[in-house]
Amino acid sequence: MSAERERLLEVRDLQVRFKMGKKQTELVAVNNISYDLHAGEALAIVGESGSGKSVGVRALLGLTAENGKVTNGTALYKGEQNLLTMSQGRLNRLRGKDIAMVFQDAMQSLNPTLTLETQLIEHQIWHRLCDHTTARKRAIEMLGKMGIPKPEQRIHAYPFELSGGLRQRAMIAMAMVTNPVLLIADEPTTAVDVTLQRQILDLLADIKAEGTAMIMITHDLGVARDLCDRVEVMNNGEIVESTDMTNFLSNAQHPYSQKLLAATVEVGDVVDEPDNGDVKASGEDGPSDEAPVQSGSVQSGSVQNGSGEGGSTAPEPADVVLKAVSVSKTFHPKSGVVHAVRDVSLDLHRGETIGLVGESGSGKSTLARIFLDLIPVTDGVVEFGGKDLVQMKPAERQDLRHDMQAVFQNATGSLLPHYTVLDNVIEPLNIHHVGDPASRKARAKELLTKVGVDPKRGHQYPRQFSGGQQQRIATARALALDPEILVCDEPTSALDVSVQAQILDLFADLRSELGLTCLFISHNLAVIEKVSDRVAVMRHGWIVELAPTKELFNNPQHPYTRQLLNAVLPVRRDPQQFDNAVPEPTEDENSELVEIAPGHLVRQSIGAATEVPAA
Amino acid sequence: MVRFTVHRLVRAIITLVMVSLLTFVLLQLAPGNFADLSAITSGATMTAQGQRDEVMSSFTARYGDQVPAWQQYLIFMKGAVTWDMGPSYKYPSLTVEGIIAGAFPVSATIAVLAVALALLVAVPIGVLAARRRNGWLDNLLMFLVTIGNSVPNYLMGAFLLIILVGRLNLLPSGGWDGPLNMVMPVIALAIGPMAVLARYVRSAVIETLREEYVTTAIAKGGPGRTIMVRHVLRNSLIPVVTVVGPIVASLMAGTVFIETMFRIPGLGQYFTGAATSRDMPLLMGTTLFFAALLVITNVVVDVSYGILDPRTRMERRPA
Amino acid sequence: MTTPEMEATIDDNPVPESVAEAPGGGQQGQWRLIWRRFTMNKLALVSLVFIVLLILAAILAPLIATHDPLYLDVSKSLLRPGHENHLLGTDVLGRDVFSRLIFGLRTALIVGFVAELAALAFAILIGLVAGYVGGRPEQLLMGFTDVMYAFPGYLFAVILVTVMGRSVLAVILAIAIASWVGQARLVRAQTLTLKGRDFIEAAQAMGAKGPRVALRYILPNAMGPILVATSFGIPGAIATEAGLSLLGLGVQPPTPSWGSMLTEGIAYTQVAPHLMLAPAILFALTLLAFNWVGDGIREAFDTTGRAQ
Repeated sequence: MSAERERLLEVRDLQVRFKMGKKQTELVAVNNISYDLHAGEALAIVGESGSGKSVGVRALLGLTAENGKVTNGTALYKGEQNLLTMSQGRLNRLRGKDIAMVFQDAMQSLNPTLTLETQLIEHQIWHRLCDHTTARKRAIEMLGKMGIPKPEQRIHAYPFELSGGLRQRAMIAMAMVTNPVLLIADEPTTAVDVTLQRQILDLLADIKAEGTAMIMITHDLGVARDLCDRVEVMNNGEIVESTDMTNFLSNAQHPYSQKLLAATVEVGDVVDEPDNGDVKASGEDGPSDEAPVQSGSVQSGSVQNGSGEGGSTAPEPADVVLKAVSVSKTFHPKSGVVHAVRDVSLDLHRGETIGLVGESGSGKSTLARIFLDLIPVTDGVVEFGGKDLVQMKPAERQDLRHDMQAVFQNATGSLLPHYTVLDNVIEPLNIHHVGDPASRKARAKELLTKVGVDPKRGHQYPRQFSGGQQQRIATARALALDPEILVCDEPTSALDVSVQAQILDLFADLRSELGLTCLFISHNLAVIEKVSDRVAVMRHGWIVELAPTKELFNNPQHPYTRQLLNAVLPVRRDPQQFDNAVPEPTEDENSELVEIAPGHLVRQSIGAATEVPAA
Repeated sequence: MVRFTVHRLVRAIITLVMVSLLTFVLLQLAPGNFADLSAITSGATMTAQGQRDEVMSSFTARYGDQVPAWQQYLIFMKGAVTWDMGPSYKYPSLTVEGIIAGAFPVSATIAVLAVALALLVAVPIGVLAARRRNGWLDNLLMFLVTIGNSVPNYLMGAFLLIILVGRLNLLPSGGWDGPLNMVMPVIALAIGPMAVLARYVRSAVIETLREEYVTTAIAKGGPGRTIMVRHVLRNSLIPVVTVVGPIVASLMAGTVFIETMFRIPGLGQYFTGAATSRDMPLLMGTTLFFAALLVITNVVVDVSYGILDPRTRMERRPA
Repeated sequence: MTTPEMEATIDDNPVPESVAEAPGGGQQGQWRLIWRRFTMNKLALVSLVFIVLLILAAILAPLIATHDPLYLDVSKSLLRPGHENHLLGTDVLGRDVFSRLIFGLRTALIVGFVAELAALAFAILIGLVAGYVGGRPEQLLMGFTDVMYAFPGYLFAVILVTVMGRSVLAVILAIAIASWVGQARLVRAQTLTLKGRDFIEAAQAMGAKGPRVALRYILPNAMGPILVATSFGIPGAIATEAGLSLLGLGVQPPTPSWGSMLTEGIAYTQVAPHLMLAPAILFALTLLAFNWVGDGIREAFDTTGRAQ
């Protein structure tokens, strides 16, 4: 579609090698990749970690790490100048002027000790674009254009004085202030929450609409789809597929592309599927790949009664295994007070999975730690099996640990680094004095097999395993004591999509096989939809909406839930219209959860008419 | 910022009181006082019987007869605060504050020259090593730094004496008569801090070079020199301020040895002399003076770090 | 400048040889791996061999020394090295320099090891408790630290020796007391860092309790920095002892000490430079060897900690 346009960049046979470790082992990070970029076009380079996607693009600008070297290839800019062989001086005249770059995290890519003013002006001067006064004027203009309010004041700010969103915008303004022909964006939204991600991408879309060509490096197909015309799929340093975006989505040819697409979990996958036949009592259900999790009517039926919370009566107590009543947690760091969790009431029924979703700082992980009895509550009661946690005797509390286990986000960090894998899995059995050494070892080997780790590798250390395998090991450890409840705190967030899919499948299998009750925390709505029976949406420490999964995703009521859902960038569907304005927080001391439909609770202001919107 | 400074100062004063108490209690526990000690050694030292009596009478004049220890402490502390600590035992004709006032400039001269020398050499070495990291020059420089770091200043002084005096006979071996006397003490004192600083600067620069904002600056097309100065050096040198405290501490301890070794009439010499002869007022006085210097240095470092780094300018920096 | 992605590569694909390098199971493997990494640093290895030789020489000092280190013979004052059976000559009182050097080594190593290990044992106890439990022990340690910041170790040691006298035991105690605070701070900082690590929270979620967490999870992982600190602490203690002797406050003469040998040589730098040169060289080599071993340990642990 862009064949007639000017060719901006022709990369041919680019190869980058790295020397690794003490022995200087050679590693080919990028292996003979070739692609074209035309003026005004947006190209996505997608791949998982270690695919070489970032290294390959950085090499074009001479930003290869010191232990790396471009060993082959050409990169023609505008058909004549080879970026890879030109002198440092000539390259410097292009970098930052014709070709600008933004990175993942604005906090790290802006110099913390210089004001925005210095950082937005300096390269205009370096490239002799204008004098200092004009440069300053242009910087202020650009900040305003990127959606930063009061730019003439904000320009005096240091990066740390800005909020995360403004910082990200300032970084893009810095790249755009020289009016470049090509903008390279290296995972520019990976470090930010979904709503901000959407705002940033809309900003980039505006920039693209004005004619700037773009290379977007990302692992997120949704992001790529939203912005880019063409896509290069990279795996192990090679481009495995090169096509335009629509073709890629509908008709990907390479097995790796297909795998990547199939592994992508997204909102709507579950809801759209017919689920009439799904009946689930307490996990006799066999493992199923596609829809392992039920949002079926039987389950939500039992939920409806249970979640008639917010003051009303509880169901048969035997059914509720874990219960929070008006739980609050307040931290007192050096500066001020942080209300991490506020007035949260939640019941966990036997065999169900509750998804806890929210952006960073919403209090979801704090809530998990409260349930795990790792931190005490400031206010409220947590009941386990009908007993108040605070009033439990130490021995009872220790039993609770026995019955409730956790899997954390950082598998590498959550395994004992100085213990072998087998010893790691045995450790909970040691702590709770279960069995004798021989039986413990046998149990650990059995568990490793169950989670898909070869028990023959049990004598190795966690760091010798890949991230996905480490999460499997951590899961085996969590299962060692045969717990009733499993708390999963972002267990797949640090993993690549293909690995994430495997781990989610593993969880689904285990849950149905063992009848586990789960509290599953994630910032990723698609993952939450996939695993949960009920979903609680958190913001600023409050639960703003709580509903059966299908109900929540089909009929979201709270403005924040809606905004979260709108912000999602699907791969297989069209994204929804997104309103930049963040909804005013309705949650405060004067609000309460109101049941607007059976089992569907929404936070509303007290006094506001309890209008039940049409479902 | 003001609150932070005040808070730091209050803590500094508490610290000084603790140091003085600790020293005082320890010295009270010591077997034998100055009088006993000088009685034993009077044959060998200059302290004659008459002088001893004179000391004892001046002691009673100041602290009274048979006063309890805590009262002595309070009297001494009052003297310290009002800069009137009375006569030294060992040098009865001199007051403690007089000795400090006379000897401190000598020690300070050496120390300041040593710091200047250390900085002048260490910063370029650190930057150079960082830019050539893992090359042969870096390896060589860091090898030398390890040597400088592990060999105490008096041993460095010994080597200087052996070579410059013993072999080459270039310099006077000790004393305090002119600039030539300063050469060896200053070099010997500077080597340690130089090594510490060079290593610190090197790793700070390497760390900064790895920062994404430096990559960003390169991607903005900045000339190498400008990026080095504005983005790398600036940010790497701010934390260097934090090593100033430990360096001043090591210099103070250093002067004690160096001054003994090179027979320099500085504070360190008097401190040692006071310790060996149990000259209580002088020992208390010099110790407190050292402690005060260090505490003030640390306050200045903390406060100036806050001013240099905009990130800490707003919030209080945890100590 | 390693890009984030390259680091991810390193972490995601552990170096294949490390798989091969880990033999057998259990914690044995961990230490063997560290030892192997240590031996890759030749300078550190040679230094370690040198230190072992020094220790042997110190133990066998009476056999190695050619003369009684305390025997005076003024008629043989200031003999040059090699003269009349005196390998390194004699000092101004006619004592054999070589024998005094060897016995000085004994003093240095005894003081260095004992003072450092005593300080370390105390530091680990206090540091672990302060870091893990917090509260009163931590406040106390931080209070001590404040005072020690205003009281450089050397000066404190001088006052302590003044108080306690000049026996070897007193010198050891003085050095240990003057140096434990810094090491306790290090252990505390390590403990705090490790306490914040995810595996501790994960272990607590499994039901692991205080002593188990502190001794089985935190301490083994803090061993790297502790060992490094020890290997820098021993030469530190040796240097302090020699420094005290130099000031005339170290172990009581005529017990040989490198510090007093240096002082005695100052007056004869031109006539008999060997008086200073011999102890200075052995002294410097000893300190350097310990430092290089420390560097080696640091590197050996550093690579292990890479992926953690």
